Amino acid sequence: METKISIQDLNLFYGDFQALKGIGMEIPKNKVTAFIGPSGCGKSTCLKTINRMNDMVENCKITGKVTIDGEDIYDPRTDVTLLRKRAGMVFQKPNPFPMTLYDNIAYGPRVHGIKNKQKLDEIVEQSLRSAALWDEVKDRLKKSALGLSGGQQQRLCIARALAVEPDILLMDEPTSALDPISTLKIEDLMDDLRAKYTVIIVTHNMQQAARIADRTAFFLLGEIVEYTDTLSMFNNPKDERTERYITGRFG
Amino acid sequence: MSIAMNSAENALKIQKKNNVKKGLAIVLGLISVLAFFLPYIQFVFKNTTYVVSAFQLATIRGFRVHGPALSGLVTIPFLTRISVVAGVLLPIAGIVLLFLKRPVMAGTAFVLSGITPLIVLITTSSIQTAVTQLNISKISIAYLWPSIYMLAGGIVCAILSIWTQGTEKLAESIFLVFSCVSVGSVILITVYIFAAGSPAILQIGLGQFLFGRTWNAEAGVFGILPLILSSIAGTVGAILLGVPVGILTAVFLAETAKPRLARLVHPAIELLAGIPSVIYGFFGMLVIVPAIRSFPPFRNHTIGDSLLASILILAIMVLPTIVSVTETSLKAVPQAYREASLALGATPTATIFKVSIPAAKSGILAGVILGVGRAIGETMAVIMVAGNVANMPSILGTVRLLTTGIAMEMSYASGLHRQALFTIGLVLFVFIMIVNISFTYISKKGVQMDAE
Repeated sequence: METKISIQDLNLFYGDFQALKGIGMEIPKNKVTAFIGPSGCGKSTCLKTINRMNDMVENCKITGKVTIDGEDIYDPRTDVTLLRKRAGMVFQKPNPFPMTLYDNIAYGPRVHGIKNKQKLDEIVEQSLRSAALWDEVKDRLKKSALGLSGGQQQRLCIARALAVEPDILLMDEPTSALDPISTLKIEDLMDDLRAKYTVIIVTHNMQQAARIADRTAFFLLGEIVEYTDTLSMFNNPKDERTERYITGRFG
Repeated sequence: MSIAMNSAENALKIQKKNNVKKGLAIVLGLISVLAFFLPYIQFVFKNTTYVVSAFQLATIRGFRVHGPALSGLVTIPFLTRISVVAGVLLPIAGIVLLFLKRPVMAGTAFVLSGITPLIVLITTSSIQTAVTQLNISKISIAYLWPSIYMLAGGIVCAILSIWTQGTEKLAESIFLVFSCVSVGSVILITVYIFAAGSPAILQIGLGQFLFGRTWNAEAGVFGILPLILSSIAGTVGAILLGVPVGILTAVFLAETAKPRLARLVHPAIELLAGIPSVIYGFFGMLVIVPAIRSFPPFRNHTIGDSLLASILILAIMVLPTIVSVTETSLKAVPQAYREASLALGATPTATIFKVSIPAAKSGILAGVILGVGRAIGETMAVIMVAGNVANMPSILGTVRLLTTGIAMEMSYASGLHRQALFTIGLVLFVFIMIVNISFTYISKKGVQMDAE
């Protein structure tokens, strides 16, 4: 298994509070990796260190090393905009821009300098197809994105992230605000995405992790308790705390 | 203590209380009816004094007034007659409705009866205009105790009769009444502006008035095209200068400023809104006007008092409106939009111009329109820097705006001149209405777009 992202001895502080404690993990390329754990355990924070969305938080201090394809992303010479282009992100609540569907998808390519109308059309179609949304919306590309249903909006956000051609997709509880049918569609989508992308998903839902993830990391109080193949974690947890969490006895 | 809600004893108590309220309302209503026959208004024309009751207002033809040059009959406006008659009919209706057990409708009737003195007050002021035409400068109208009692008594009666329905109903009605007060003032002002402004149009002719290029009060030539164009030029100029500065300031405050610095700049801008306009005028007179006069390329072309000076001072004055409305709407843009944009690899600057500002655009537009309203209506500061000659607008020439035209001449104008000034007020009012209606329309449209 080829490693895509490598995290070594990562500590993260919000002011005096230490949110991540000595995280170390190797995330494989073209697999789905799930972060599970109770609320406040640091899984979302850990996800955001990968595209440096924590930079915007005041008083946030990071030590340790995160590399993507061997490049240290916390190196002062790193271009954050290029990093974020490579590591797209989908948020917990669908957050399409208040623009047309087309402009939502074309936003990313445009800010990265693509002006050619034909090229943009192609990207929009391609991204919507990848996000399994094309057939539902191809007739209303010029309508406001806010008119879509919650599940469609979330797939639009995935399409928008795919439009800048990332190789990593970070998903922060992408289905927690959606109904079961929309959730199912997005899970199917993730299954397809793993062929081209390295997907990391934060989820509260252990069944979801069991259904879609190749590997799973269990976070507790800012530490990784266990990080292994999903099957072995759910069938044969090594740590007693993991077992208690996945069997629903706490958290 | 009993907790039964419908005990007979309790019902009796409420019944008793209600009877007291009802009785009091009826007595006060009867006093209102009585007030109809008591001395209501006192008119003083030069040295003749008339004290008339509301009954007389409704029945007599008018007052004979003797002026130095002319003398004549000053008739009582039709609306005055109607309102004083309403002033006696409405309390009677209220009392009857109370007996018919319709307390809410009775309350409405009482409130309306309380409003009648206000309508009398407004309509009788047209007598003042009529008298001025007879060349009598001194007239005064005093409203005597019965008219004031009508106002207070009507409201008290309304409260009492609605109160019989219970406290909750009373509270609701009070909210309604206060909202009627604000809406009512708007309606009254509108009606009055149109009533006062239209006679001169009939006399001068609408085209002549709006498109006439000369304003010469002594010669009786009233054309306000220079004033209209100067007002428009001043406003457009102020907006062109003020909007970019205002929006970028707001972006700085809402998006990029360090919180400590924002805490410093924000109150400074708020302070700008609180400075009285006459102080802006001082600043313009002492700084802007001399600066324009001595600015090398302009030297010998201008005395300094000019359209340019007005534009500059107005641009500063519209800043706080634009900044605060824009800042508020930028802050209302969900953080999720910015996160999404940054996560796609957009730079913070690109995020501001491509996501935050477009998302806030209806709010920003609303701010700009409010700024337009402020600029069109500004009077004092402009008087002090515009030069006030009714020229066609030129950037370095002296100008007179609609507002300053009224303010400069109102104190000594009489007759048609005075009415023409009212008509300028009407034109200004229409301008402001257009601005406000477009404001409402745009903010509504913005809301619809977000909800779509």
